[in-house]
Amino acid sequence: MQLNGSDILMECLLEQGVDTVFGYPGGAVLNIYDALYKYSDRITHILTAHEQGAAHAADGFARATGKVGVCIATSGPGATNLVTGIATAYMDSIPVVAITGNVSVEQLGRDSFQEIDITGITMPITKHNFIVKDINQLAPTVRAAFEIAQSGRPGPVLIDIPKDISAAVTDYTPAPASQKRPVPPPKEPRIKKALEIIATCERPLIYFGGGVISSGAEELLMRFATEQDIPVCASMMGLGGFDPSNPLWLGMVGMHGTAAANLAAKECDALFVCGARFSDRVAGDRKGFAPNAKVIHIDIDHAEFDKNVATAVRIGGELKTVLAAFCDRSEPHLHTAWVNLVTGRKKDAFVPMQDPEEMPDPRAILHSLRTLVDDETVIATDVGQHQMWTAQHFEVRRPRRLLTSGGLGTMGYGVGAAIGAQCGTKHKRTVLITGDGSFHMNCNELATLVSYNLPVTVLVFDNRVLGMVRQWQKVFYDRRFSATDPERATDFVKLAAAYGCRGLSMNTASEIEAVLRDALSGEGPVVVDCRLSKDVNVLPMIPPGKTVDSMIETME
Amino acid sequence: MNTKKQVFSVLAENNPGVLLRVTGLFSRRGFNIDSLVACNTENPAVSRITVVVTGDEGVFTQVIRQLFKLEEIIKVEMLALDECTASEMLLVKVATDDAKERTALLKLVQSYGGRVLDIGEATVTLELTGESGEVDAFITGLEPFGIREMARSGITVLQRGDTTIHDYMI
Repeated sequence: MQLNGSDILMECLLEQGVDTVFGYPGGAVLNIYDALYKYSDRITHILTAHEQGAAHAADGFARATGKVGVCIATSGPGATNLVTGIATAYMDSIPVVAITGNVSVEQLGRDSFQEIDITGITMPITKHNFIVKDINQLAPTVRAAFEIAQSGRPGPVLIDIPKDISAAVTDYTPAPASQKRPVPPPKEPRIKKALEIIATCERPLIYFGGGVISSGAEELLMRFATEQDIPVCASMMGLGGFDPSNPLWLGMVGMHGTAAANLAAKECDALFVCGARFSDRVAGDRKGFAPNAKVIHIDIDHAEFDKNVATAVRIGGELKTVLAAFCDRSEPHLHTAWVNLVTGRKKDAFVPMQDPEEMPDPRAILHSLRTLVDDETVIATDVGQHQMWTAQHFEVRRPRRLLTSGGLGTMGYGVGAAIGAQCGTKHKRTVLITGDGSFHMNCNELATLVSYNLPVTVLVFDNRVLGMVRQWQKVFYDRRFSATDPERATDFVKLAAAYGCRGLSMNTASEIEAVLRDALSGEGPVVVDCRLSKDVNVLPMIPPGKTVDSMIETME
Repeated sequence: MNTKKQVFSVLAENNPGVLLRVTGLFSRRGFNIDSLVACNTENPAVSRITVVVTGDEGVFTQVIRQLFKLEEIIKVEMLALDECTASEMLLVKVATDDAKERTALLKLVQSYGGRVLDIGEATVTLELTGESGEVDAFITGLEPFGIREMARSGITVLQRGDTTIHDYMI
């Protein structure tokens, strides 16, 4: 069948099961958009306000559904606007295929209008990228991109398509969807060594990360933890991978993790690391984290072994395979004294005692929200204090239900991610928790929420300051609040109205539940301006580079 | 940790940009390149990159594991220098003003097994191929004459004996 490059691209996307793409048109992708017009009955294109929003939406779609997210942008500025979104996906190992247009092959390298070397720019933030200079390579390239994005440790792949390639005609032969590459089985001697440790350790701890989510290993993780009676903590990327109501759950570990989790890490004699990478936000002091433990590191990416923390046993492979081997080949154990010790340090969920006329406490909002949404509701966040409060105080009970930029820490991630999640899950509502700082970065995507009438509730934790940076200035810079109190006069309710979106405000503690109920009902998007005190801090906090011994628990 | 030099032989798909992917990886991970040589191989679809890295064992392990994450990398081998033949090429332009000096220079070149490639009015251009230490010594010997310009290729290595990179298991 003879087709042009743009139609071949559509056919290849359909081969991969793609039904939704996020993007923004432009000169170099006119041919591709012409094909999107033709294929609009089979591929839904969501037009964002800015390409960055499209990249975050593809990422949010992928995180929420487990499928590959797809975004499309034109050459030059369209392509560079994707960069932050691609980097966000790369740092959190999210499978995204980004498609950019470029000037015609003949015009490449001549500084043509809207020409940019996007493969050069995105080399360090993609698993791999391609520029297609031969129409016959287009279909194989798209198939390879989907294979690479999903295989092993997932991540973004970019395909740059010059304009003449999207017009050129060649023969198209259908092919089945790309498969993940098989992962070699874990090495038997390593499994044996780990089994010995499982049988003999006295104070074991499981620390898991996003790898549990991306590999779908949550059930095996639960089985391993409960059969072996091992307490469990997670990085922020892992939240949702373990039932927080299970008595073995210690909470998030690391800088803003619980004292219970961090103390358990300090005291354990065996640390089972499942799909996590000892980021500096978990192991601030790499040598002081789990100093007494034999580290058993399980990861699909061999480059993670010994990168940050030295391991006793490295097990490269599929997490599910390894955990299944652990479960099937070890006798159940009890570590009663140890479990009682570490779980006994868990504090009851924080319930702020508030005067009803006070400004609402962010933690109280999150507790109230938890009672009002079901477990399948996707919660997206931006980056800052509101993000940490969400991680600490909103119990995520299912995998893929907390979307947050962990590795890159991208302020402005949230609205795009919520758009992607809502389009992917089609759940009755998605909730974005953002801060006034983050929301100012990409609130233009309200336009997208309104265009598609997406049921997304945006809770703006509005303390009028750049709270997280300000908190660091309090602790480490002697309260010199440089550029963190912008004195903006933005009225978020009016801003919502200007975009054609419903806007609500929450000014006192007494209003929390009623306003949330209102904001979670009805159709379409809602923005809630939650006016908070600027002096609520994210606690506890382990200063960067330090251990739990330096944990700060109170702050003015 | 002990810092030392280590040679890596890397086979990569011979695609445009593959060298940039490798050097970009080294730069962003902070691996120190002492020398790097990229060239074609007996198979036109494959490039061979020989790279010397300064670091400790932890760095060398990361070099291998990170390189393998690049799509186009086919093989990475850490080679012990004493199990290899290693060689690099030097081209050097040396000042020679008078005939007497020129005679002394040519003697030096001969003793190292170098070659004279070109003779100008006030300079001679020489070539030497050999192990890095030999090349270093040759340069030291040339210094009194006045080195005008030089270019070193960086080292390339192959295993001694019948072993080839294709014999190694990943």
